[in-house]
Amino acid sequence: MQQLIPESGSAADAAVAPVSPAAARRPSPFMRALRPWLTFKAVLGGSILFALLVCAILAPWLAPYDPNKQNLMAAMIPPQYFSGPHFLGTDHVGRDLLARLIYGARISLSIAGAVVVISGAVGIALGVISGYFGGRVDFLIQKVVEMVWAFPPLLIAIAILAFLGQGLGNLILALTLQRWIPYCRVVRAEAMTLKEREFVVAARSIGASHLRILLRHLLPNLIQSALVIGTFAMAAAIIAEAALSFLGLGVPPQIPTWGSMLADGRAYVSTSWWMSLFPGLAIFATVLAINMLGDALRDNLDPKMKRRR
Amino acid sequence: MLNYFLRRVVGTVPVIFMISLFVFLLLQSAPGDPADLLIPDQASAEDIADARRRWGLDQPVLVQYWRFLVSAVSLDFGRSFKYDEPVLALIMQRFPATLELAMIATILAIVIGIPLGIFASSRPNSWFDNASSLGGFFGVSMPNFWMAIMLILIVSGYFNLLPSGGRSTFGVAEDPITGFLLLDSILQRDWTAFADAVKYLVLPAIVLSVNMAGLLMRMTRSSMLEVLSEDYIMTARAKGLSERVVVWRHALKNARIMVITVVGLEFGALISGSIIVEAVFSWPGIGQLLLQGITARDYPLITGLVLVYTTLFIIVNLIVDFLYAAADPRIRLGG
Repeated sequence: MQQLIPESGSAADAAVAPVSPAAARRPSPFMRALRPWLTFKAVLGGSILFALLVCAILAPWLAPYDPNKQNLMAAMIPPQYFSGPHFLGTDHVGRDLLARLIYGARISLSIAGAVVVISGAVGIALGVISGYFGGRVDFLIQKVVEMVWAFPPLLIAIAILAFLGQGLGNLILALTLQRWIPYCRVVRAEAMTLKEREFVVAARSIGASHLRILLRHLLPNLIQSALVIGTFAMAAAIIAEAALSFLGLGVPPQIPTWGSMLADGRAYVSTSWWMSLFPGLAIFATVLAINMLGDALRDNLDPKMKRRR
Repeated sequence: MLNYFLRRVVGTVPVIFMISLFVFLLLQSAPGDPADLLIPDQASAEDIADARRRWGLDQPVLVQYWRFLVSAVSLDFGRSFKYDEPVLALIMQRFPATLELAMIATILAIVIGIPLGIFASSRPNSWFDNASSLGGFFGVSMPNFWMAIMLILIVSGYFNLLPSGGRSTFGVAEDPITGFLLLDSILQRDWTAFADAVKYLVLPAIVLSVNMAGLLMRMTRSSMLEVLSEDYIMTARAKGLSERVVVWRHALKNARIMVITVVGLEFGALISGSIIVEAVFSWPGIGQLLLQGITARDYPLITGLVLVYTTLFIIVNLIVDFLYAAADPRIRLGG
């Protein structure tokens, strides 16, 4: 797995190699490390995501208006682009669409990020324990996996929000509840093969504790696959959050999210198309970018999953 | 084969049991006492106590769970608060609409996704491959609720080609046989009703199929590429078989396992997606019923629907496993 990532080994080679005309023409180690990432998918996905992150972090400075400031005198203004004060127009109560989109990036990305991190931590921990220890622990964890997996994905979230009520905490809980399963499955399978490898057996034989083996020997070898899964999980979480907000089950209505903006827009679709077009476009572009980046990550990090060309 | 199947069916029993427990716990932790929701405010303390006894709410939790389990197994989900009808009857009325939509969408996804994936894999890195790969990316990333709104805006609103919601112009046919409008109208040789049903089905089915079609295209392509590089394909080519026979008969046979997996896995996503699509297109299925139930805090209805959805998902997974075993002797003999 390590050879496919050309940073460490090849960087050392280049540093030691004598400077000859041939070597001078060779691309720098940095460029060679970078090259596998210079694909259409990675560059496009990466730049869209970077722009979104900038929007999310700098929202208060970038947004032209307060996202919740209503102005009924300026309601449902069509997009004015550079010819007026409201670049993408306003919604049914006169809130600036662009400002809400920028703040929406913040909410969407942070909810999805929280979901990915929490479910990743849970899934990796349970997966590595399940795969490493095996036996009864493994059986029990796999039974839980099987049960949680028996729910249709969005339904479990809808059920939780329907019974427990809306709110940020419940939303994250609802989305996390199933999202840890893919991590757990992949990590378990990898841990099962890794624990038979010489370096683990060697560590055991010199008396390393289980905890030390899990943290220092297994985890670093699992992190790449987990990263790939995490990327796709992020895309799925953004769609799921938007879908739930769209159904009115997500975060409270005063918080601007892309999903709830779309729900607002749907009611006015025949008169104000921009209220539906732009929030949906934002969701679509974000998910597309993350999926592309995930694909590039998988091609570069995970040789087993790499698609043949 | 039968042995394998029986083992799988028996294996789902504990899963269904755990799910019922989970739903029951959710129901227990829902805010507010069910008795408060059902009893008018002016009721006296004795009335409330009486009602609680009648509904078994004064029993220990374990007894309540046992009753819940017994009635769920006998498909008795109680009466809906909102409609004042048995939950099962409400669900059965609307279930065919959801199933019809989901099945048509699945067929559509298979018909679009798989051939595209095969054509793309047979000419890797051609313009066709690149275009359909990009299309596949678009498909898997498309938020279906947004696509639904945009299609309504353009196709129904701007061009006025197709209806924007509902299931038929005249309501349900006079005497439904199966509840599937397409099938009913064919059985009754009522071609106007058939055309009408198709017109209402087109947009929701397209929207619902798009995620699955994209994924199928991508997965078909990658697994075909993998299979096509194997030795037996080289042998087949060396024998002088035409490329068509190699791709469609030799390679596809091994790639179909993956296709079954994806269709099975994605069917769950499709069912969840149908809840949203039904909401946007006012499709009178159980998804819309679920959302109405949630708005009205109609707990018996929600509980019944969650159990029905989950059971449907489990049954689909069983069918998938069965198809697996039929397609791959290694599974039915080894596993």
